[in-house]
Amino acid sequence: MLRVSGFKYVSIPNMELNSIDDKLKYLVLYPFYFWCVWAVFYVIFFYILCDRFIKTNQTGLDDFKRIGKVAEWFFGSTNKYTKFKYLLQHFIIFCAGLPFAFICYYSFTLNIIWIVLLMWVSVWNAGKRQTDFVERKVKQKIEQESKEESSKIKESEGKDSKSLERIEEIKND
Amino acid sequence: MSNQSHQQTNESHSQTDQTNQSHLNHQTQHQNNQTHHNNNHTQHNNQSQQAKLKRRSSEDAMKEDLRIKKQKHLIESNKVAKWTHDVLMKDMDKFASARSTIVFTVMAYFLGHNIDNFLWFFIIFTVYVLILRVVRWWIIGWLFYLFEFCYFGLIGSVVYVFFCPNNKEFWCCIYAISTGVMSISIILFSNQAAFNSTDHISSIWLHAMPLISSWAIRWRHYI
Repeated sequence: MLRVSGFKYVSIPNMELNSIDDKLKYLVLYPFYFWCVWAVFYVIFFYILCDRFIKTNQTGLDDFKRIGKVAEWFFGSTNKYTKFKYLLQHFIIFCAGLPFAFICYYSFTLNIIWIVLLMWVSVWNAGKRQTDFVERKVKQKIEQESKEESSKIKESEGKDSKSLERIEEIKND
Repeated sequence: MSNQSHQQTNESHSQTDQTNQSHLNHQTQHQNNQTHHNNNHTQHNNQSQQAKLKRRSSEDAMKEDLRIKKQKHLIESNKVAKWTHDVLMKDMDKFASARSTIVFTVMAYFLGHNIDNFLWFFIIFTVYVLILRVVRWWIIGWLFYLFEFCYFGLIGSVVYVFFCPNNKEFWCCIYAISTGVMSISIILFSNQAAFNSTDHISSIWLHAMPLISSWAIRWRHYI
């Protein structure tokens, strides 16, 4: 069906990159250009066109600020030059990701290990979230039960005190 | 002489004791001062941190209030928004688990069976996920998140697969980005493969599917 519609993804002429120049050009330089295109787009869109909307809407800058201690340890105050630091943070993550891409491009095994690792991390996070959720629910239940018990005890104590008062009244009479 | 010397030694002993005591007192005073200074410093640090946290939390609370107000206004003023909030989003959450299980099973089947069809489904479901995300975040008021790099990368990978699969430069770009930055962000942003949550599963789709599709294209002869 795809081939009928002219879809030929398999026909990339030469996937192997032999010389170091080619490797650097294709796996470092071009992705960097791609990142730069996004950065320019982001700067133009947010700094110039929609600057005032950032202050009232949720953006990635809010998440960057919420990183808190890690970001402050590295970037200093998260309230100054936030947008520039946000771009810098993206660039650092981009640079950190390049070696993985480089290795995975040349090793089928490492590429599979990388994918399996990421799947494991995401499943681990999901499991952790689920256990946290269950623990929170159990805590809430226990707190509710303890509150109910304490209120029952108070009520019974109130009844006892009332009955005692009545007995004293009868005695006095 | 011996008595005198004994007295002298006693005096000297008492003197040394006194000096020792005074030295000890001085030391303890110094230590107390230091601890007091340290305590003051730590208290000052704690206070400033607490003030910072308070400021941050108040800013966040202000933003959240504004967002909720906007959301309420949108839901009250727009019929489509009201329907998506009251009906569509709730139904989506209700059947999230079933939908995501079916989608991932189909994708896994085609990944092993036919990469052509797998890529076709990748394009279709990516468009579907993006539309759902736009709708959901329009209601929540998080549309500005759609201009993040991850979305740029995802759309780039769809554009590559659909429009220019023969372009080697674009292919290398997409491979490097999907295997590098976007996959690292799964760890950094602690994405969760929680099938019962629409937002979490679409985040996983956003970060992981370009990686899997580029892996499938790169190693198509081995699969």
